Amino acid sequence: MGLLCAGAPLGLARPALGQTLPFAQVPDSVPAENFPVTSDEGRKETAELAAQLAQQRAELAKLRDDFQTKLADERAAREAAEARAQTNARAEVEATLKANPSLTRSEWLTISGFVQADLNVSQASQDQLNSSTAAPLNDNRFLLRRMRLGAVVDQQYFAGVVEIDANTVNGAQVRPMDVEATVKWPGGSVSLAALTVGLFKIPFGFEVIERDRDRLFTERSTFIRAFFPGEYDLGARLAGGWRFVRYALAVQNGEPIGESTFPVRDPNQAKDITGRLGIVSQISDKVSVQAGFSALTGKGFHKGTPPTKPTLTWQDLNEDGRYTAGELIVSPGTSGQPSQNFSRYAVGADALVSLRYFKNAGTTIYAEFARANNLDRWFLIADPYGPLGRDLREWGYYVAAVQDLGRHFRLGLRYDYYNPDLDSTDRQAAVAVPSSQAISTLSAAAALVGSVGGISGRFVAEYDVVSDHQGRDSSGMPTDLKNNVFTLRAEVAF
Amino acid sequence: MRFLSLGLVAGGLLFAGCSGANPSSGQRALFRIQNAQYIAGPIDTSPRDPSPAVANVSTQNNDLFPGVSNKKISGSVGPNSTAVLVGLQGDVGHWVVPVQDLDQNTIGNYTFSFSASFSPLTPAGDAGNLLLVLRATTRDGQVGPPYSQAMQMDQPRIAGALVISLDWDTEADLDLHVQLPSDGDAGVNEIWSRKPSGLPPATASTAPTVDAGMQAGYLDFDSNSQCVIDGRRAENVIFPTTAPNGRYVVRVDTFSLCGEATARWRVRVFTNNGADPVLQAVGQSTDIDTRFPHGQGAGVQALVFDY
Repeated sequence: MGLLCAGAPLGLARPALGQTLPFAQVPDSVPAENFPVTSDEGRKETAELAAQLAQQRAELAKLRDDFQTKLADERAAREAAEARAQTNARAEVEATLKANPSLTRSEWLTISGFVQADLNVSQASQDQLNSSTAAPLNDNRFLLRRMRLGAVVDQQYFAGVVEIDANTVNGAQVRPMDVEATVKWPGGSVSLAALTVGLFKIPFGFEVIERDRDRLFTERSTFIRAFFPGEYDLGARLAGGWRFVRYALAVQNGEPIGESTFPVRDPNQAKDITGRLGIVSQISDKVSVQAGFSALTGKGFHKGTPPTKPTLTWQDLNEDGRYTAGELIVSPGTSGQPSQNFSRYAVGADALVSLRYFKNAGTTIYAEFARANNLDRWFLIADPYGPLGRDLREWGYYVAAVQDLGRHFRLGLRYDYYNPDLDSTDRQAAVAVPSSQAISTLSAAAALVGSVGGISGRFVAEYDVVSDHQGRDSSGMPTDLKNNVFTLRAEVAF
Repeated sequence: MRFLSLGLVAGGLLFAGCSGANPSSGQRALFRIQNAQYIAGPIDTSPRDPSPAVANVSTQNNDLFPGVSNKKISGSVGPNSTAVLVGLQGDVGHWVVPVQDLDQNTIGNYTFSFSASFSPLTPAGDAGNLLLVLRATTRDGQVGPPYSQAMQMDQPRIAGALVISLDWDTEADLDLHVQLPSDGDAGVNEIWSRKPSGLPPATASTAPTVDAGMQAGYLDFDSNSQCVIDGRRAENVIFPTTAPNGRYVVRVDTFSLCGEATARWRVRVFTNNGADPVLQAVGQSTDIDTRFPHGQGAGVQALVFDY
């Protein structure tokens, strides 16, 4: 009964469902005088019950106090933990953004750029103008070699690139460089297939694709620059990869941005088709390799000539500087010559092995070769309908090694060779003999590399020993021309 | 040891850069051959090897004028020759010209030919006695005896009783204005590009002749007119036999700089077919000089003289 009496108030005060009080509020005790007392024994029992009730009430109060204390402690601990977590998360995000500012708040947009400013010193430099083009022949100068500013958007199925370039190589110039619109089918680390339309790099070999900010050597090899001047061309490309296989196939105008006659224009309907099939593999923690085969086929353009009007020309036959009878030459007008297309192709292969000994030390060795016909668009421009009247067979290769010496130093050595005309001849002592127009360059480069707060910088010093056959010795035989080049480059990238 | 190795490599690279042919275009030389190899330093005229010899040299004429270009020079050299060294005696450099064909006239000899040009700065007149030196060379380094060809650089001179000459240094369009002595009531008579003769305006009864026009003084050429560049950069007002007495005012009008930053000009007055000017004035045209009117009486005053 006492238990009932003691329990009744508890039962009455049980909270409704949904209430959160773990312990019911105990109502005030019922006064003992309210209970009917019929005897001493009854009074005694009532007193005991009242005492028990008081004791239980005290215990409950103590438990409640303990619980409230623990609850308050737990709440305070939880709030402190949450505050710490928020602080840590904010600090982590800020640290990440500070380390890589190109990561904006929108994870799919990346803004990046770099500047390469050079001091050039060339043995071939002279304080004169080119008598044909009136361009300065001085090459001892400071120049802004590249300034790129670009934005990349990359989502699951779409990607886009917009990049502009500014330089002072031939006077101040600003031009679009990399403009891509891509629809892709996501895969693993790379898309299974990505269709790109725009202005993008010609997918041939290794050096064309290699980013300018990643390359240790100040410029690409001679034959790469001759075949693919400016590297970028307009067109469409299908590229992707599966596991270790990489592929790219592009249809482009065939007039790269660095080409001299019709840069990023297209004077003929034919398009250049370029492709590369390769592999990329991380063999172990310390060894990675990549290799590929490339090919190109397309049609070049030989400019026709417009019709000419009849002209009357004075030719100073007796070289006295005055007109003399018989020195007027009549040149009749001629009809124009039509333009013509010619075939060109190239095949090539490239390979790269990268070895990492320690965290910041490693060696990268890579090489590439290409054999081409009528593809030179910069060095000795190929035109089988030009003065030579024949195809130009071209051959080039390079071998390079780059050594990382810790976090801040890199050394590199590269030898590249290019023969723009394998069938070249020279007239020596009244006899046409086979000759070489090959040019080879041994490049030694050293770089000081650093990175602070997501902004990386480099100082690169490079000396290029250029060997060719463009000079003549006193006996009239072809010999090397003094045209070695020293370049000091400062680069900042973000 | 490592630093020593690096030093040796660097030294080797620099040493590799010390050999090779001169890349200079040789434009500082008085005598130039386009597309030939330039060698710095005057051509050696001291005797060395007895052969190969230069057999003969052929030129159209040996009377030159400063700035002459496209001058054909050819010749024949002895057996085993592979090239000819060619240079003006005392010039800052000389040239290598490979031989071309077998000489059809002399068995064993080889022919050579080239087109040469002479700098406008080549000494002329009395100092214009030039000596062109040629030496044949062989593949094994033999250098034959020097062959000398005398040439005369003439001083270009425009003859006349009175010649007023304007020349300038850049491809700008400058105009010479010469105001003749006042013709009384007939007013001011000025020779310039729009009125290239000193003849008074024609009347119905007096039709001028060409001879009469020349005798009255004339402007020989409107150089770089409308920025059509002709390269002469010189204009002359010439009085062939006589010139009116009185006060002459010479002005230089900068019609256009044709994209050039400036043009430095020189006005000279020659009399009695003289080679040396009796009067001279120099000046410089800048962009501001192009902003004024370009008609009769235009230009900055360069000279005032009485004849």
